[in-house]
Amino acid sequence: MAKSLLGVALPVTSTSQTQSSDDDSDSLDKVPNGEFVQLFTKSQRRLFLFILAQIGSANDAEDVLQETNVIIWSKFHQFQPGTSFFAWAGKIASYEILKYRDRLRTANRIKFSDEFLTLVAAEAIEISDELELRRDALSDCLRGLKAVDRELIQARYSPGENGLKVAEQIGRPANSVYQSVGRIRKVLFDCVTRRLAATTRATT
Amino acid sequence: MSPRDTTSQPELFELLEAMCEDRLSPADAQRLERLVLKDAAARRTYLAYLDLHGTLHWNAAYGSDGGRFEPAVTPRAEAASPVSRKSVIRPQLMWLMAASVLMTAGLSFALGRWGRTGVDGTPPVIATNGSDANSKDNQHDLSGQNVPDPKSGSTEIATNNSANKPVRIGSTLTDSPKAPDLPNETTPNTPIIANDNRAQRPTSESNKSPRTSGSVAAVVSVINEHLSAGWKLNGIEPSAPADDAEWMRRIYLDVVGHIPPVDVAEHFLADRNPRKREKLVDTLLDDSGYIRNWTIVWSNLLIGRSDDRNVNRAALQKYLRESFAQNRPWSEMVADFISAEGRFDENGATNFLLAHLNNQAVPAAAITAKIFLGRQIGCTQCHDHPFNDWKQDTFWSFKSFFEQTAVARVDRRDDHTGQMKSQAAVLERKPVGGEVTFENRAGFMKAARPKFEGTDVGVEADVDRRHELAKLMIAGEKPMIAEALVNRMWEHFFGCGFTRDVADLGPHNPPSHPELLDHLAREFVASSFDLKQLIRWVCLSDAYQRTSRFGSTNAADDPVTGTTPLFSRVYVKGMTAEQLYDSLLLATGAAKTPLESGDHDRRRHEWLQQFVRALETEENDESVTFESSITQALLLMNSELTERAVSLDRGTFLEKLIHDRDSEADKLKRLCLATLSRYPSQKELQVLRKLIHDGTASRPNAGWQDALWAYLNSSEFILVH
Repeated sequence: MAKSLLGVALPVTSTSQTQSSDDDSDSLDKVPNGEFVQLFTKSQRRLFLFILAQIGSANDAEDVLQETNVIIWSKFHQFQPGTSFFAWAGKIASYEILKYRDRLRTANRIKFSDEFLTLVAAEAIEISDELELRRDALSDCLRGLKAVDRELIQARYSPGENGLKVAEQIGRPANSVYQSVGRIRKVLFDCVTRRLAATTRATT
Repeated sequence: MSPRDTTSQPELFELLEAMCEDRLSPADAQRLERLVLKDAAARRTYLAYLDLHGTLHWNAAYGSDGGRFEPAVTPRAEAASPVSRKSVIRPQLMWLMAASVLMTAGLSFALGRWGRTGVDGTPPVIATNGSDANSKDNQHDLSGQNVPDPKSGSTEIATNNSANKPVRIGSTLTDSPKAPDLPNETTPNTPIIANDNRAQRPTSESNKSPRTSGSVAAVVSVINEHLSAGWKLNGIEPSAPADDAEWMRRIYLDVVGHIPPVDVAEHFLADRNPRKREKLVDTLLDDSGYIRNWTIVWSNLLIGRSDDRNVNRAALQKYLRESFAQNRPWSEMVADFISAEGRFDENGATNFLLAHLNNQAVPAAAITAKIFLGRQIGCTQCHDHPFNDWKQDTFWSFKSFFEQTAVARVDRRDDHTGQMKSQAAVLERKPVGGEVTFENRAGFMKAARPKFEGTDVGVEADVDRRHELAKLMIAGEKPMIAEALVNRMWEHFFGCGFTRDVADLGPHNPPSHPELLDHLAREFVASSFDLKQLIRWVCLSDAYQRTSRFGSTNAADDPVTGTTPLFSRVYVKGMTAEQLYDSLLLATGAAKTPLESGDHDRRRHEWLQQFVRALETEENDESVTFESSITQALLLMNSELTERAVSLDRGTFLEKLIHDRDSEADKLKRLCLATLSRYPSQKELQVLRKLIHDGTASRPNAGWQDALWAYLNSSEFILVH
């Protein structure tokens, strides 16, 4: 597994270390500087979503993100300030996704083909701006939900929850909760799509 | 190519749904993969859907703004970064700091989830607080109502502490500024949120309110007394009276469902009669627009906007039109809906129940309770509600009234040819008796008899249960239907009911003005459930005369923030889709047919279908994605409808205006009056003048079109204020 999904040499093996004296002192440090931390924090959600698109399960995606983060932090001095942090971190994530898939393969739990992942990963980068706009629109759409729907979706996404547990808590059959949560997700999805269509049309 | 609408490829969305709930089987995964590989649009849909799911997941756990932390990891970084705005380190920073420490020690760190142990066995380091105080205003709040007080950093529920700031619950689409965070010393005066029993709820001098009288002046003075007592008690000054233009526009939209026509507006503003507001209320109640508007309001409530349900909308609307035209007592209408029998095209009232008999008539019971009784009983179907006075057996007793309801279908044949045209649904009574059984949470089967408010009508087959229920629902000194309707009407006019959810009355949710609600309900019953009379009382009240703008003295009176409404101003509402459609056509003369025609109703209904979708839930909800937001307006504005609205075709408002002999200033005033129902300010006139002279030789009137467009696009146009 010498190449990432994006076909780029992995930073893990990268040796590009052309740094000014200023940065040299940084790399001697055991702790990344403030700028790095900021870039790191800023990219967390995006990285998570990038991983999720290729893995499907939010819990597994968090695990892979953790592993990715460990690498990012141990390799922080290899990051070249001024270049895209996300592109750099994304490569690390891609590598971690491959490792994760290897584990699934051994356990015979693999669901999607490599072809699928390559295509999805490439597409994800291509439409990343649009996805960002969608995330912005999502908060408006959430606010537009009816109070009962908002409460249900909040319950479903409380950390550690899923549809099944929520159903147990509120004493509704699991299927009806799946149905309701699914309905709300679809309402949100259509709302976001419509909002985006409106703004795009308005600006063109 | 953008992602698709969820109706376009049901299979894809069902698979994505399964994926979100970790229920995707290997076979499902293969199907999903095939779909996604097949075309680019499906690929984008896949990505966008997972992105939405992931964003909800992420924001709930780690706060919604991953990108705005102040780095505070090392002392050096701290010095380099801007000073933290909060004196308390926000919880999200904790894991960063922990991370940094672990990293330096050469260990891996855990990005643990709430309630889950991190990978390396360490307890989760993420604080359990999922909400970011800073993003509270512009992001949704996934931590529910437990918004942590940013000062204390705790997740303590604000209602436990009467000194806390009001909790922001939900949000509306108003342009009004949010109530500012008040400094601590003023908080005792801040109204506390509605479900705190210790709230300083206005109570008039005990129960000295006059007995029911029916006279408009007497009822209005009771309303005024109660509301001003609340203002005094909470130390706020009500907003100033609304000027005639603001008031006229609002009452037009509220009573007849559209903005005032330009010539009527001109006439009303020029009228010097001191009683002209009273006169206008009466005029509007007798206007054909009154019938049209309330037919829309109630058919939306009764069967929804969507065409997905198998009902005869036209027949229901005919029933409503006739009822509102005759101003029939509300109690009679309620009884009709509950006890209706017959063909859906012959008896329009049958369509209410016909729309909700799916899922073993659970929606029929739940929606009847919600709409007519103002009771939220949907969840008592499965369990006792901790706060509601309706218990699980109350729900099933109520539902058992609908047990004899059956639907038959008959062929409708063409009178001449005898050929079958379509099928008509027939609402029937099947004479069955007995109890309904249900399973309680402990797993025991229980039986429920048809019982309402303590009266058991018996389980014999020959008892017509719906007929009996209808009688019980409208009987008594103050039946539940009275308070429920008064509360709903109040919300219609003031933008907020006496309870935050008008369909959730009950001891668990005390109203903001209990005596006033009680008094109005009694007056309403005494008036023989006279809807027009109720509207008169509300519209002539002192509070309804006030402006929706607020001053510094009553900025805190903002129910959007979860405070108890004090009605010291009229809260801003978004126009409904129907109001916007009709107002737009009226203002621009773009209607091809008059508003009164059935053709117009049909066109509007077709146009509306793009916004709605029926949902088969316990309460047969609909998802209506129409909101009076700017974005929504933009969508509307880019439609064919708006193109027609600002076109210069013969007969449109704009065409007539441009070719008028009036002076330019008069024309501009007319333009403003037609859209915003007021005259433009001097400054506005200057801008407009500049705008209309911007036209080019090839499009000499483009400036006029732009000006009209700008007005229609303004939030002043799409809000009811």
